[in-house]
Amino acid sequence: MNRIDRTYRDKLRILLILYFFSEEIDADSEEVEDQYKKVFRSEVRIQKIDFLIRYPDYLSFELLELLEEDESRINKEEIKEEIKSIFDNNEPEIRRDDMLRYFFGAYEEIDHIIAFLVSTDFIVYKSKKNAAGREYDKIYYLTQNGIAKIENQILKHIDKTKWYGERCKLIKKYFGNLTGTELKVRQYTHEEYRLTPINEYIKGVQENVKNKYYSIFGEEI
Amino acid sequence: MFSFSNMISDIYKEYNTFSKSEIEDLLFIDDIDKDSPISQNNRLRINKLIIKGEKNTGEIIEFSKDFYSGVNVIFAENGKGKSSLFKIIKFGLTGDKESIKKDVLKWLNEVSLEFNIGETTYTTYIDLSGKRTQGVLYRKSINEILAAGENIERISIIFETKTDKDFKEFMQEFIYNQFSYYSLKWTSGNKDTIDLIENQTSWKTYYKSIYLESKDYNVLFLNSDFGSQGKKILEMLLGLRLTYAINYLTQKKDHLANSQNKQDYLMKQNNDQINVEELIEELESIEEDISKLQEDKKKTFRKSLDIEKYNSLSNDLKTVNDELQKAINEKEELEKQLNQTNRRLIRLEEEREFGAFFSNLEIKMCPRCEHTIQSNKKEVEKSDHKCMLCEHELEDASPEQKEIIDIKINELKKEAETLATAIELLIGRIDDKQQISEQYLIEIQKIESNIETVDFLNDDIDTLSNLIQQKVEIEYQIKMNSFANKDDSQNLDEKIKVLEHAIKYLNSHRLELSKEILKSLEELILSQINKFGLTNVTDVVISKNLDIQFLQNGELNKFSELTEGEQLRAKIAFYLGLMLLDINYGMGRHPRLLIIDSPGKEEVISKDLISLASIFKEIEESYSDKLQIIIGTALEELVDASASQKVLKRGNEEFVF
Repeated sequence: MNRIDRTYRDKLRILLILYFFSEEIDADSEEVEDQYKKVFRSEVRIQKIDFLIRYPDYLSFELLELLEEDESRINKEEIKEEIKSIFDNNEPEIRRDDMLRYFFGAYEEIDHIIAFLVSTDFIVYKSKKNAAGREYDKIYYLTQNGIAKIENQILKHIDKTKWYGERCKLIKKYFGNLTGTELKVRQYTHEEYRLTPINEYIKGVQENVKNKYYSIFGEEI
Repeated sequence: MFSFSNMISDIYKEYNTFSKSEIEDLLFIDDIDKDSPISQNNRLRINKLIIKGEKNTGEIIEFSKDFYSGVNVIFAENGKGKSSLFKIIKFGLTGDKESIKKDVLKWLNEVSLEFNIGETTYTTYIDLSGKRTQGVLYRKSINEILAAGENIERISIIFETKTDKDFKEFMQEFIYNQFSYYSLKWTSGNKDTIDLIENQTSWKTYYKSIYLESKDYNVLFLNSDFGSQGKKILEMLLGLRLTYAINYLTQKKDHLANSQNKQDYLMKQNNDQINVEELIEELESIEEDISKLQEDKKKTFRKSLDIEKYNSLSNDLKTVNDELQKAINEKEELEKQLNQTNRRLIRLEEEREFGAFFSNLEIKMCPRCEHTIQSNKKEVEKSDHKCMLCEHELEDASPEQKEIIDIKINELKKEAETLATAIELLIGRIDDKQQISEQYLIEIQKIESNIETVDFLNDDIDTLSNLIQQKVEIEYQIKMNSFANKDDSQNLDEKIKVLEHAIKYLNSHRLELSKEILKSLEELILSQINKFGLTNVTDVVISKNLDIQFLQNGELNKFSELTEGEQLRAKIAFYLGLMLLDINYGMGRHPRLLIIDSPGKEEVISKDLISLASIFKEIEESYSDKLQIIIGTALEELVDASASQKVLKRGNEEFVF
């Protein structure tokens, strides 16, 4: 994959993750300035949500597992339709955007994206540094200006963001309440994921999804 | 040093019918460095013998005798028990009681033999009072054992045995460990069987180099020398390098030669039974019967249906199924390609659309310091093409970049279309083929159901299958016969040749490696012989085959060619030479104990006996702390062969015990 086709896609995807998965800031809160409207916490969470967007097959598998864990809470039919649509559209083949396995799971450096989003006044980025100079407790605030651009221009006028918006909503619906670490723990339960050597691309799990789908719904995808 | 891999290479050069690794396998020797001529510096020394029992006359035996380092003499008249005494010592050291005279054996109740190996004292205690021989080996002296009585510590018992056989085996193992001896093997044949019998030297065999019996003075080692045991004793005593390897390969060769003999024998038997030409004739007639029957069958077949049609349909079906599979494979391959293309297409289209939005965004904030970018900076970027943040030169690339993306997207779209069309075509083709295939199948099934209604003569079918089975069997016999005639035996032959070559090779290397030690031994034997008064022996030569030869008047004589009087002295000289080899040069593994029974009865003249005695005395004086010699004699001349305290002299008619 050369650079040409992944300069702006990554930026948009990360921006939408920040937008869809962030929380409104309490207006009375004194911790931040007025123009910050929403807040998103932890880089790990970005990475793990990004992984679910980039691997539709893993997302499908997670959804099926969720179903197995607690059927009462979840609309079985809806999940079935979502996964069916993902596979009908051949998403695991044509939408998968390979990610490297790093020390703490799927990871791709996003510092340049964050810097870009800061410079264009979409977000403000805060972090603390420990004694070793390592950043931690990374917090991303969406600015009023940024939210306006996303809502009025990006989501309204750029057709191809539609898929990302829908996907974010789907993930948010089922996994939105999970922290980055919780998401990571879930993802680690996959053998293919956990056993991927460091610095190699994580492989797909289409076959596993097909098998599980069949065992749950009794029909083939 | 000897190099095994050199040997393999050398032999491989000569026998290229084998691969190098085949030669390696054939000549593999598990412990090529087992032998070493360097002395263990261990000597065997007898300290004390106690015999208890009762003679048939009712006389109680309570015999106790101390032995000393150096030369010991036991003087008694013939027939008064000297030989029995030596045989009881042999019993104590080897566990072998066979040579003790039957009547004497009955007298014995207990035998205790205390001896030293190096600095350690051992005692064998043998209880013969019961039905079975019980043997114990202690790491203690007789006095210590007697003092301890019942309270002797278990730790000082090396072994306890309840049978003759065990006692013999344990003694052998014990001595083997002490002197680094091991058994050398050889094979022998037997008229009654085609198989080989395996034999091996034992501690009892090697004991022949310690105990020189009067009946054996006409030979250097043994009276009846099966499998060249005498040579094996010498090999073991000298610890000549490569001895184990030579012995090992010789064994292997013998077994291979035997297999070959067996095979030849069996082949001869087989050939007697199977006449290949008859077999071939029989085979031909069976084949004729078969083809006749098959022809008949075909005719019956054609009457009822069109076999040709069936065959061609089957062929067509196969062809169409092959084509079908090929099209399916092709379709799958194209689908993969289409996925790839679509994947790239989506990315590029997204990139183009998102890029159009993002690249036109105004830079407002410095991500480093979070300050707003001032408008003059923006002006500078426009006029100077320098980044407003870091002031790097900006490349005016965006319009071109966009074009490139457009072109690529168009290419990919076309590609995707082509692929999709091709897949459509393939799907059409697959459908067609599937229909054709199904039609063929229906027609074939029709013909097959017709076949089932056709009447075959069951008898014919049985006959046919019987004939085919006979044919297979005869073909197998012919094949086996020709196989046995050629390959295997030739291969065995070659292997044997390689082994023979290797043995020769090892022998000559052993000789080379042992040159110095053999030369020293020759010199030592010669000087002893000359001291014994055999001045006509001017040289001693140890041949390639380890035969000891004596140069007399320009003639090399073997030991057996010496006169009786010469043989006695040559034999003693030889063993003294072996012991001195250890004492002087630290070479060889002789235990430095010699028991000489009745040397020179009648055939040696008095003058020679006196010189023998003086030589023993000389040995006593020079080496009394380094070796032990026990002489049993009835000859007055030899009483003076040692210091008087080491001489046991029995009077007229007096028994030793």
